[in-house]
Amino acid sequence: MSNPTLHFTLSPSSTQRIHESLITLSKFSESISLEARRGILILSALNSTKTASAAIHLTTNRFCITYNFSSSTDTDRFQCRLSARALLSVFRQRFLDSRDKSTAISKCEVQLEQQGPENRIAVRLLCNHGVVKTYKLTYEDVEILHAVFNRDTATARWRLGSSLLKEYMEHFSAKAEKLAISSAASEGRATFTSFTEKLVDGKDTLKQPLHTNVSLDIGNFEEFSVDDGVRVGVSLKDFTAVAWFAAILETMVEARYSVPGRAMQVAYAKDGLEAVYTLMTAQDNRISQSFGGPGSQMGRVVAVQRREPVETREETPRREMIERQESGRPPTERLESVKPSGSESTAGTIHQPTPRRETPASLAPQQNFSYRPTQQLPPMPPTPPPPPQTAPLFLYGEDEDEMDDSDREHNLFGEMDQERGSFTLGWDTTYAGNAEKGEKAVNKKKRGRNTVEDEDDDSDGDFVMPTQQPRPKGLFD
Amino acid sequence: MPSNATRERNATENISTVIQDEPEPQPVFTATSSNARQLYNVLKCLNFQSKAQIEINHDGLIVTVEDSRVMQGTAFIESALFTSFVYNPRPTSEASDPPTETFALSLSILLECLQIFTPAEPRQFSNGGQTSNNVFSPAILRSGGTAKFTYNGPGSPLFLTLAEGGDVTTCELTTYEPEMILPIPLRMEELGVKVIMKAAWLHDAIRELDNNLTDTVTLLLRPSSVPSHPSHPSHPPSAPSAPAPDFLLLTSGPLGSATVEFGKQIQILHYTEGYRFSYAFHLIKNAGRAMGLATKASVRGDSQGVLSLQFMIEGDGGGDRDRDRGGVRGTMGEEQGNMGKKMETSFLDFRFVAVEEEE
Amino acid sequence: MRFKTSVRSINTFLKLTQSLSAIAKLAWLRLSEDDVRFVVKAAEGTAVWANLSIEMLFEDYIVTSANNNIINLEVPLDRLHKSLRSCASASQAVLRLTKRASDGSPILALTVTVASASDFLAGSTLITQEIPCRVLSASTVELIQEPQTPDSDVHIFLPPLSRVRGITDRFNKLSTFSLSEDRYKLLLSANMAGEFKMALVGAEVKVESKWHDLQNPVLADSENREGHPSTVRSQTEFAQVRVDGREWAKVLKVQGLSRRVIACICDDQALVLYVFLTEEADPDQSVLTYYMSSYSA
Repeated sequence: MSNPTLHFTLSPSSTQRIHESLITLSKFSESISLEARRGILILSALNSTKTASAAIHLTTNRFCITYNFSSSTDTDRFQCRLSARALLSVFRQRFLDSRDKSTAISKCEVQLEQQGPENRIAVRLLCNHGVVKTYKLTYEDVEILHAVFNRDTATARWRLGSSLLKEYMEHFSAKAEKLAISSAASEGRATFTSFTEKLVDGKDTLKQPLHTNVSLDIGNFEEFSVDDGVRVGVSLKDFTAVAWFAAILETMVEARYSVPGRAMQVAYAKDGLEAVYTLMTAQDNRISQSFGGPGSQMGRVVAVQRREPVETREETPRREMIERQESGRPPTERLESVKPSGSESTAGTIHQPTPRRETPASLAPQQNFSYRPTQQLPPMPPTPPPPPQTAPLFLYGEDEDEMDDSDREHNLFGEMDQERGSFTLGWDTTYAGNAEKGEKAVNKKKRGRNTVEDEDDDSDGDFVMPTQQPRPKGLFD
Repeated sequence: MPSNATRERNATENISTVIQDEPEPQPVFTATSSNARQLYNVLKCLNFQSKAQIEINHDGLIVTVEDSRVMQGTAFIESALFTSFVYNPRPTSEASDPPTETFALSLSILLECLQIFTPAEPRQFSNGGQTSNNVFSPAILRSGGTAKFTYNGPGSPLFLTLAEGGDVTTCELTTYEPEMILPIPLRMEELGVKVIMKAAWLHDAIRELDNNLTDTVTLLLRPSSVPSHPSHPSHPPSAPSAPAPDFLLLTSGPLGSATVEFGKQIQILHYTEGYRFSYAFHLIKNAGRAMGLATKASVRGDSQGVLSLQFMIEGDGGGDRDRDRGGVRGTMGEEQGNMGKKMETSFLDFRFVAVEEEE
Repeated sequence: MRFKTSVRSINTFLKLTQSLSAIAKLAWLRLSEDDVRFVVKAAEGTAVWANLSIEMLFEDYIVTSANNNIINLEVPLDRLHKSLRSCASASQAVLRLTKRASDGSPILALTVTVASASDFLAGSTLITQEIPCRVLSASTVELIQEPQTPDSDVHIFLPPLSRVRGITDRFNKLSTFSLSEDRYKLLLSANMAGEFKMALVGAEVKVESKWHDLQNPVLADSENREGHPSTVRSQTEFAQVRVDGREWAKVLKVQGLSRRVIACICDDQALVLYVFLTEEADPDQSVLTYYMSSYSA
């Protein structure tokens, strides 16, 4: 049995960050894992279906006031798992400014206590008015599963400011299930679309949630390198959680992905804290042929942790590590750098237990097409051109919005069914240069399980979530 | 006109008639407050129970509530809090006792009536807004408006008339026989602990421990582990040379334990080494609103573990009577020149019986 | 059929959907060349007929159909409301009737144009909200009839609804402390001498709020005035109705929109509330009419 020692101290603002991190992680799972290594602390959570993983990496020499970790065994880490509820009762929202300053905390000390049969994580909060609050939380030893994401295969990448992302996310109703992110780069646009896979019809159409499409000029992105037509879907709820914390940090959000069915990684960083999310993606099955199975099958994001790196990938990390050391930028700054220019070395980090992430993974244009807003933007037209998604949804008649009145009596849209085959994507119907021709398939009406949702409570539909949730509900909420 | 309509209408008019008229030329008790808010705030601290007992005497009102016989809360509201306070005791045979009039009523209903002109919590349509309607944040009523009480002895209701800005609402509250709550005695000659501190600090400590780790909270005094600060103001009279003890509150359960240890900034006026008793946490929380409202708190426990938490609530000088200032805070009343009124102070006292500690 | 319009007054539209959605989830929306009508009916009985001028909400308004250019839709109010919230910083908002591409179901599409704040060179951001709806046939809507009420016994301008609403909420809270089945029943009464009362009668408490010096509107049609119940009765005599306080509170949510409110009481039968969105002199007389039945004692 190893007897590692772990002791670190945090400032009030770092303690608040821990709170925000825990809130975010608790949206993925009820248990939160803690991993301590030299120079780094990782808080992580994996959802029950293993389709989403969230990890908060803390570079201890920046994030902590002091940090001491040592292990007597050859494993250079300490791993444990705690209840999110218990952690959030310790790291709860503490009002840093407005309330009585005397009861505010001045310092937070965390220590691993292994005394005999009782193993505890001890947290001491020192308050300005001389009060000391001490918590001792039980934990269980665990082997933490890490998400695997190969940056080498990430053919799509964009970076967007978190406040803009939050602004866009606020338009979505939380009752929709999925969020599709697609590129119409050839027209200088990108879209975020919410949808729910299981469609209802007949009398229940009115029970469908609001579906939203946000179409942006790519100029809003700090960087946008996504092939025309690339479109992936993720869980809206997960993505909202990702965006929520990013907005608090006020930082640049970076997303990397490739094709539906493969994971997407979203990451951002601030002041020694880096958040990395690995989300499984799926196709938008409303508008494309499903590859098999009734709904979108999402793979898992997780591989079982191995002590030794996988043989076949061992060479690549070594080579890349050499390249990374040469470029020498600290890891946390790479996500904040503005518009990298020139050539950068390729970097792909296979997120495995062993390789260290001290050297930067810089950005590299992998694909041929890379959109740089400041270089190629055409002059802005006096009025915005008709956006792609409002292109004719009905192909007959000259007036794009006209509906045949005679249909009203019975099957209102009977004529439309025949036309549907020529529709491609729900919103982006105009561009034909769609790399994924598979999407031009017959639109099969999905008759899945009826996911009737009550729309009577509007408060769920909002982006800004109360920061106290979901810690244990006391009278303070 | 259909006859039952006439009857209904008359019934409505009868209510108005009954409420508007004074029931008798000289009621047993009549009082007017121009500061319904202060009254509301103090009484709200006892609203962890819906029914309360009210005693009227020459000095003011004593309002008592009880929770499952192991916890009591009492508010002492002096007559000075009212702009007029007239108590005409009914003649009784026991002339030697100071006269009092006691009855029970629904405290919850009384509190709603006092707030009749205050809008209920504004609904937030955007984010799930924070409501301030919880135990730990005192509601801030709009000031302005008067409350007039009238009571005429057992069997008669409590009449309450509220007026604000020309609007008038009259209330008639049913009263009941008092329940004769036996006060939980605190043995003053056998105190094991007496501590004075800022109420906000006790409030903060209880908030901290409200973390669902356990059902009970333990109050503990133990010998100090650190040498006492040389400038520490108070030393217990029983041990002048020993350093002041540590005063702790702790909770513990399967997920872990939590401890709040008060530093040297609190005043420990009396202690017995090894003093340790536990209480049901949800009962201690009943006093939470008072902790948030009060300025000072005193913590006293006797040798049997009966705990008394006392809170001093300072008035705000009354505020401006006629203007509706929506959300005015206490200090504004002072700034506006409070017409020479002194700060009215109310006291709240909570008593708790200790529980057996599980080992 | 075709419906396309620019939304002119987001705030009014938001408050309207908010007020109506308190009464019921679904609304019948009737679009014609002359006006815009929303009709909702609660399961508990309250009905609202909102007759609005086109200019109250829209501009550049186009409605065409084979049915005299009238289109009848069934619309979920909460989703309409939520989608309107996207218009906060919009430079333009267009509402149109169209079909969802994926399955052809009818939708109201709200397209909002927001100028890009971050980068002046970037084009606008376009947000499109898809609100599911149903197209109602003329025969279906023929069955929806506006309630008929007898001549009112009393009509009076109510005090500011925000005040009435605040007190109603308190009355409803008081009701929660009672156990009786009809604990939420409130008595609303008024007379032609400018007095209005609201009372709650329970076992543990009786409460009454009273207002005086209110205005009684004069009937516009002078011919009808003579012999009208409101003119032949004694001025100080009260007419009353008994309503459910919770329903009344939902009705009072219209306070954000109301400029003038006239309450018409048919003694023991019904309450009709005319909520005008404009002042008396305004040529636009958009009005929401609330119909509530009186509960018997």
